[in-house]
Amino acid sequence: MKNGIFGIINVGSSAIRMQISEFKNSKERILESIVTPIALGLDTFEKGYISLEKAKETAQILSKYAQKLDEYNIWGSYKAICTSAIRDAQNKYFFINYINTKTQLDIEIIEESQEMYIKYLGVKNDIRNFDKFAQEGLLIAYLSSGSLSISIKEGEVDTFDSVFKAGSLRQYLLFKDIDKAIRYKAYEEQLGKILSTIKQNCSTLSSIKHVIGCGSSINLLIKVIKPKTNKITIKALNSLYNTIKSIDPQSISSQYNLSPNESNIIVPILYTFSALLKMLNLDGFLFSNSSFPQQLVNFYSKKFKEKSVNKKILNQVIAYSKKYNNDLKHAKKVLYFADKLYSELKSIHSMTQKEKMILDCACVLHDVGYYIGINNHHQHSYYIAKSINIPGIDKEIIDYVAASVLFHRNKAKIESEDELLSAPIEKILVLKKIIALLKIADSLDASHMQIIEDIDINVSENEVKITASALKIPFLEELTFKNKSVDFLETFGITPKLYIKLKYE
Amino acid sequence: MSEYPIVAVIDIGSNSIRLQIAQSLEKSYRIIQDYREIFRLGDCVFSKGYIDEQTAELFYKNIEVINNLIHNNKATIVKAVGTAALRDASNSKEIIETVKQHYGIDIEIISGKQEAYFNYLAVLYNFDIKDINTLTIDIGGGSSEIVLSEQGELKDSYSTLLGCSRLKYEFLKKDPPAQSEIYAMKDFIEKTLGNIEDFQPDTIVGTGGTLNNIAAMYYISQNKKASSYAKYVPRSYVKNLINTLRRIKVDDIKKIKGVEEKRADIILPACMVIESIMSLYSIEGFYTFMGGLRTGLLIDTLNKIGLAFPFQTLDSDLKFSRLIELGNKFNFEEQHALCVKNLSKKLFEQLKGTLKLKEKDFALLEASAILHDIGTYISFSKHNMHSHYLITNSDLTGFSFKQKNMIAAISYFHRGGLPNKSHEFYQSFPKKKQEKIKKLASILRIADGLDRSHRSFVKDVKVSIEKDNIKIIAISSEDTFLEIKAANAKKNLLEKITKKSVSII
Repeated sequence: MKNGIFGIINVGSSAIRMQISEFKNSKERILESIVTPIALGLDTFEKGYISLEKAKETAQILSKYAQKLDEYNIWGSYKAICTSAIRDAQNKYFFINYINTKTQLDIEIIEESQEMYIKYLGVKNDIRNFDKFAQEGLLIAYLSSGSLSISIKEGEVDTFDSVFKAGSLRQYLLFKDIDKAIRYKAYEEQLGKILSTIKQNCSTLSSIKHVIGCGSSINLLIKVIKPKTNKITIKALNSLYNTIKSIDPQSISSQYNLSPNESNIIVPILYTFSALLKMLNLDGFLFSNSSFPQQLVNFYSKKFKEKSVNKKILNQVIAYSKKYNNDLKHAKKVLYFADKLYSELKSIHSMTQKEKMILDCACVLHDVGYYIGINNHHQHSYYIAKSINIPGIDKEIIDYVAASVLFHRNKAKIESEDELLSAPIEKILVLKKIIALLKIADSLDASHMQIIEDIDINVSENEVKITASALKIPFLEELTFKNKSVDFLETFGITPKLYIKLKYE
Repeated sequence: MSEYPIVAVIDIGSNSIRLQIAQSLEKSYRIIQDYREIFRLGDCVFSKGYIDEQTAELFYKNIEVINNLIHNNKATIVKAVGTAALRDASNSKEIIETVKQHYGIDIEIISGKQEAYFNYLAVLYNFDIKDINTLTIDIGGGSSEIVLSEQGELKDSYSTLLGCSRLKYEFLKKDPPAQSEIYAMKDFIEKTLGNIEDFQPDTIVGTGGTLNNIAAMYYISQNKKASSYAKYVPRSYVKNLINTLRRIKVDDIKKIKGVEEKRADIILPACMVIESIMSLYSIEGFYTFMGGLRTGLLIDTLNKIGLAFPFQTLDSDLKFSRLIELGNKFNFEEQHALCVKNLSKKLFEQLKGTLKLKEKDFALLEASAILHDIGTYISFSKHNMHSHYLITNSDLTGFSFKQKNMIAAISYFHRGGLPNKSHEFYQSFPKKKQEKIKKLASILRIADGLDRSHRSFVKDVKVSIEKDNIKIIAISSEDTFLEIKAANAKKNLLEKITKKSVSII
C-alpha cells in the first residue's frame, strides 16, 4: 500500500457517501466521511429512470464533494462508483455524462459481481474467524436499499451467488400502496419466492452453520435492536417484527426515533433476516458494519490482498462447471498438460500470469457445452462461459475465457468472427496464444480416457518435441494432435512434434 | 421435494452393470446419478457355465462401488435385478447370498418375459405408440427380449437366445471371423426369429447398450448430435456396417469413431440380429433410445410406490412428459411451471376468441409455460434470454424445428421488454408467426405474474371482455397482493394487442 491520501465516492440508492483516508505505513486514518441522503432509488425502482430534477440535485451534492478533491488535491487518486440505483436506470449513461459535465467527476458503474466481491472482501476482513466459518458452511446476506445479495460458501468455493432485486427500499416501494396493516404479508410472500429459488438451486443448504449479515441495513438494525455483541438473534428480530409489522410508519418513526425513510424500510429488513435464519434453522447471525465506502477504500487502495487469487478463481470455476456435468477427469488432465506447456514453453510464448489464468479457466470450461447438446458444443460452452457471474472475476477475463472456449475446436475460426476482427491486434494475439496451447492440451486427451499419462517437453532451436508416455497407443490423440497443432504453428511459427512412448514397452 | 423418495435401480446384465438413481417428482423423475461399468459377466458364464472366483471378486467390487453411490445419494428404495448371465450361472444363488450378506442388496433374477415387459414400459414412456404396431427388441449380452404390441397394447413377448455376447462365443471364434462362421450365425438368428408368430409391425424399436452404440456410431458418422435421446438408424447403414465389420479384426473395429472399446467384438452380432429383423418385416430402419431396461425398471418401481406417469394416466401425452423431463434437466420448479401452464390454459380458453387464436395454438403456449424459466439454470439475470437459448438448442420431441423456435421466442417474451426491432430472432419470423408469438406471450406474461410467489395461490381466473376493457379476476383463497401486482405489471403486451385496457383484480 502506497502512502498518501485516497478518496472514494459512492452514489447509492438512498445516499451519496464520501470517505477520504490517509495511508501512512499501511495504517489508515479516516480524514473525512460524509453522507448526504438522496433517494435516487426512489426514481429508478419506481419509474425506471432518474428524473432530471434528481440528476440536478445529485450534481449539486457532487460538486461539493468535488471541492473536497480540490481541497486535498487528490484528483489523481479518487474513485467514484455507483451501484444498483444507477445501474438499473434506463438513462444511466445520460446521468453519468450529465454529472461529468457538471462536476468533472468520472463515475464508474460497477458490475453486480464486482460489487459482491468487494463486499465479500470487506466482510472477510472484518469478521474474525471468517475462514473457519466458510469452512463450516456460511451464508452471507448483503442487504442494501437496492438489492439483496446472497452468497453461499463452502470452504473457498461459492456454491451459490445471486443478486435479487429485493433491497429494503425496493421492497417498500413495490408494496407501498397496500394497506399498512397488512403490507407485511406482501413482504413475506415476496421473500418466500426468493427463498424457494435459493432452495431450488442450492443443494448444500442443510450444511450451513453460520450467517453473516451486512450492507446498509445493518446500521439501522443496530439502531433499533441495540445488540451487545456483533450477533443479532432471531428472537430479537421476531419480537420486534411482530410488534411493529402492522403499525404505521409514522408511529414507528416517533417510537424508535427513526427518519421517515428508515421507518418505511425497517419492516422488510427485519423480515428478510428473520426468514433467512428460519430457513437455515439457525438462532442468529453475525454482522459486519463496515460501511461500503470503507470497503471501497480498502479495495481500491489495494489494502485488501487476497492470497492466491488465481487459484481461488480456478477452484471457483471448477466448482461452477460441475453443474454442467463436466468431465472433470478430462478437464483436470487438460489443465495439467496446459500447465506443463505453459511452463516449458515460456521462452516462446511470453504470456503473463493473467493470461495463464485465462488458459486455466478455458481448460476447465471448454467442454461444458455438452450438457446443452453435443452438436456445436463449443458454441454452448461459449454461451455458458459468457454467462458466468462469479464475484471476483471481471468481465474482461470472462470475455477472453469465453472466446478461447469457442475456438477450441477447429470448426470455429477467429477469422470468421466479425466481432473479433475489429478487436485490437494485441487482444487477438493473446487469444491466439491461449487457444494454441489449449488445443494442444485438449488433443492430448482427445479420447477423454487419460490414455496419455504424462508429457515431457523439449525445446531446442528449431524443434518443440512433446514426448507422451501412454498406457496404450493413443490413436485418437495422435490424430487430433496433428489437426489441432496447426494453431500452434500459425501462432508461434513452429510445428510441435508428438512422440509416443508406451509405458510397458 | 423430500416427500418424494429417491429410488435406485440396478440392472445386472451380461455386458454391464448399471445403476440409476432418481429423485421421484410429482409426475416425473429426475436422474441424479447414472453409473455404468462395462463388466462382462456373461463372458465367464457363457463360456464356463458358472461365475468363477476371479469374476466374482470383480463383481463384488462393482457392487461395492454401487453400494457407495446408493448411500451417498441417500436412496431409500433399492431395486436390483439380474438377467441372462445370472439366470444361466449355476452358482448364482451363492453370489446373490453373498451380496445380500455384505451389502444388504437383494438381487432378483428376472425372467426373460419380465425383462421384456420392463423394456416395453420404457418404450411406452419414450415413444408415442398408441396408434401403431410396434416390435420392441432389447438386445442384451445373453438374450434378446422381443415384445409385440398392437395399438399400444402388449400382445405377446418372447425371450430368445440372441444375446450378442452369447452369439459371439458360440459362433465367432476367429478374428476376423471366417465366412462360414458368419453364415452359421446368420442361420441361427433367422431360425430363432422364425418362432415368432405372424405379426406386421409398423415400427421397430431396439434397445440395449450395443444397439445404442451402433446408433451413436451412425450419428457421429453423419455429424449429428450423438447425445440426442432417441435416435433413428436406417437399415442401409446397418448393412454397410456389417459388410465392413465382418472383414476386419476386433482391434481395427475399436478404431472406428464412436465404437465403445469394450463392445468392439459384439457389435457385429448385434448388427446382424437387428438387420435380420428389419429384413424379416421389410422395415427400413429402427429407433433406439438410451436406458431401456433401467427406465422400465425405474417406472415399475415408482408405480409400486404409487406414483403414476402422464403416459400411464388416461390423458397420456408424450410431448408433455418430455417437456417435464427437459424442465427437470435444467432444475425447473415443477409446481410453478404446472401452475403457469394451468393458468395459461384458463386464460387461453377465455381469450382465444378475442385474440383470434386456434385451439391447436395452445400446444405452443403449454410448452412455453412449462419451460419459460429453465434459463435460470444458467443465471437469474436475463433468464428469459437463457431460456430462449436452451430451448432453441434442445430436442423437443413432438415439435417441429419451427415450432420449437416459436416456443423459444414465446418463452423469451415471458418477461422484460416487448417484442421490437432489436430482437433479431423475432424479426426472422414471418409476420403471421410474429403475431402468434406476441399473442401467446401476452397470455404467458399474465399467467406467470399470477404465480409470482411460486406458491400456486391463484387457482382459477375469470375473464370478462367488454368493448374497451378486459377484466381478469384471480380466484384464490389466499392473500395474493404479490400476484395481482405482478400480473398488472405484465399486462402491457395484452393491452397493446387488444387495444383494450386490462385490469387484474
